[in-house]
Amino acid sequence: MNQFSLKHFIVRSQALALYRDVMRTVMKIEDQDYRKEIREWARSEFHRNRSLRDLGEIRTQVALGRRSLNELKLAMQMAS
Amino acid sequence: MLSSTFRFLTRTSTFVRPMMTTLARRSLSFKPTLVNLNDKHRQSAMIINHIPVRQSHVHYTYPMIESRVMLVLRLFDKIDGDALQLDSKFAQDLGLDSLDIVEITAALEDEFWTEIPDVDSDHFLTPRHIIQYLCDKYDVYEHVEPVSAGKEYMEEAKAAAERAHHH
Repeated sequence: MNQFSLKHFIVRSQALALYRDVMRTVMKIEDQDYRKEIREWARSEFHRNRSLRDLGEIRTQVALGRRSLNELKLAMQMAS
Repeated sequence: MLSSTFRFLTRTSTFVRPMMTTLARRSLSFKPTLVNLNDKHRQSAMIINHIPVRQSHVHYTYPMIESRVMLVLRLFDKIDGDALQLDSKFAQDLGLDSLDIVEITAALEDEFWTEIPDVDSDHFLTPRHIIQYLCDKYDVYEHVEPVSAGKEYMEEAKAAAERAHHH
């Protein structure tokens, strides 16, 4: 029996939705070097945590990611 | 006065963000305003009052969509340009995972100025799927064989006529 449950599937789709929001926000950054830097940082953060299997840990990381994304959006608004 | 109108025209065109890899040109349509164009001052009136308005729809064709999608995929740094074919699978042949697919989808959204929800990007397994999805979205049917309901009937009728002829 596969150890992954429905909750895992839901949490996985939440993480992918967060990654998608991050990528869409990153696309709007004008400066190419800064855009590359932020994209590499986001990629490394997600790939670093990709082997997590505990639901609580994954949810915590997703929430932290959301907060970082909101900070990034604020910073972009203030810069423009 | 002519220089100020020229400046006005160039300023309105900056509201449209240039598309990175667009191959088709947007057609300008000049919408005339409520000015009588038949009077003596026709020349100056035309320049001042014809404000160029860009159409919102580009004419999408299958080669244009295909080349743009392949360009976006080639520009992605995790994809090997030589191994990229229309039917090469992202997961098996090119070694991409779900995070990369999300990134590619975001790049495609940026290129085609559209939204691609997660439920649709789950089905992107080869570049051909992406191209087919975009063709469906923009109603492009050039590459599809037209289905004729009468084709089989014509063949049957021809065969029956041949049989009748030979008897």
